[in-house]
Amino acid sequence: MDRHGDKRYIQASALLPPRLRRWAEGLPPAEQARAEELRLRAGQPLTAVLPAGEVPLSGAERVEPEELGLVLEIATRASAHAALEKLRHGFFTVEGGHRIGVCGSAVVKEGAVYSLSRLSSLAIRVARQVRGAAADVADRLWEGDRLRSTLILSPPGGGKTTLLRDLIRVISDGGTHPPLRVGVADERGELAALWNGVPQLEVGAHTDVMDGCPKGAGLLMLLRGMNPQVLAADELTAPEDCAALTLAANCGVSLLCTAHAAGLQDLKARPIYRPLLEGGCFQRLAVLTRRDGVRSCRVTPL
Amino acid sequence: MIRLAGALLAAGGMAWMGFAAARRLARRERTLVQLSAALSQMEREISYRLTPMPQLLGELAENTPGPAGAFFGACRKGLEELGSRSLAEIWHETLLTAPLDLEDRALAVLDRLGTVLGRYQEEEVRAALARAAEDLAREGELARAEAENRGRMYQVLGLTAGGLLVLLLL
Repeated sequence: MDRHGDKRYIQASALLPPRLRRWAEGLPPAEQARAEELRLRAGQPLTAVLPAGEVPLSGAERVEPEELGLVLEIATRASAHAALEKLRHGFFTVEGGHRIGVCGSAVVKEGAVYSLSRLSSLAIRVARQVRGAAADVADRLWEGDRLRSTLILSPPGGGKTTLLRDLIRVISDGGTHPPLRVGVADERGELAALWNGVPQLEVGAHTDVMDGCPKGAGLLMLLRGMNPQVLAADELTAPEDCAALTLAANCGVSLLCTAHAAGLQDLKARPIYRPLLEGGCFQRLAVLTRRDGVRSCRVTPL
Repeated sequence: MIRLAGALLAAGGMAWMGFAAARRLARRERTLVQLSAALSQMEREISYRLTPMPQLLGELAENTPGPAGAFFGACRKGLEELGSRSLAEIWHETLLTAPLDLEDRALAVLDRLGTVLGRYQEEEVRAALARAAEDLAREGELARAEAENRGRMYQVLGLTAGGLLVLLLL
């Protein structure tokens, strides 16, 4: 952070049209550095999401509906048509790794969302890389010279993606252990945030990223084509993801994944993860908790 | 002798004015045809190749000759200011300054298109491009007819006025 504000926050607020940008940049630098999201809702003032909660920005007036469209125009460099497929999924990633979530009136064709006819709100999530987030965890995932497959758990917003990204970086770059080839199935573009093929967030020198495709398919393509030693995926949610991981585990590849769950019991209660647990695909469980704003990570064998 | 030279110069000037007016009409037709073709290409690129707008405008600037190409090039350059100005504003301001030399009707077609380009409603953008390409093609047809009729008239008028001037001055 410099005296003009937090670099990442300023980069994210540059996605706003001039009138909204002025209010966003008026946030005090200390709060800019902690801001997680900027939220725009048609007819409501612009707000920022801070660790303490969502606050309206000083002096901000109501956001006009057409300004939401302008944010997309700026974010896509006037090429929303090229980002339509991602828009259909409700979000897209822009240069710098910032993620824009979109909400509005959906146009449905043959039972699937085709596009949005009117935008009602946007959430710009400020991409932040926490180098060192995995410092206390990485060494505990090794057993001799073998990286044990690890599943990271926490409730939403617990820091799973941040920890996974830093683990990928540390394992890919090596340090106390030799560097490993890591294949990342980055379906939502949150881990590496590829832009023109270049990761916008540090994921290590020996990392191959497949983004934009379903995790299950991405994992299989990486497995077939890139000869990975480690496969990583964020937020396992579909049976196809679990099937691909089971296959990878049987090929001797170490896995690094995350899932929404408060702990092992919570995880066991969800049928989708049962094949992974019963198949012994993971040997370590890393559970993230947050108490009084302080995050901690407990690593246990599975 | 000086009188003769002056009369010939004046006659030549009148004839040149007539031919220049005819050339201008022919150029207008060419520009409209080129713009119409470029917008059709734009629609195809957006529909099938999902070409990003900066790249698309750059390609059109390179591949479209004359003032139409210069217009797309200026829009591409204007995109560097996206964030301070919307694409609609960039497009509109470029239209005001580009040497397209079109009539108000054709300029209005292009101006209307600018308010839709870059929007997230893809079908609306494609429909607007197709409509604008059609409108400009029709304007091109009218301009061709005008160039044939009035262009020939301007040429004849220029030559006749030049001839009359010679007769008057000699």
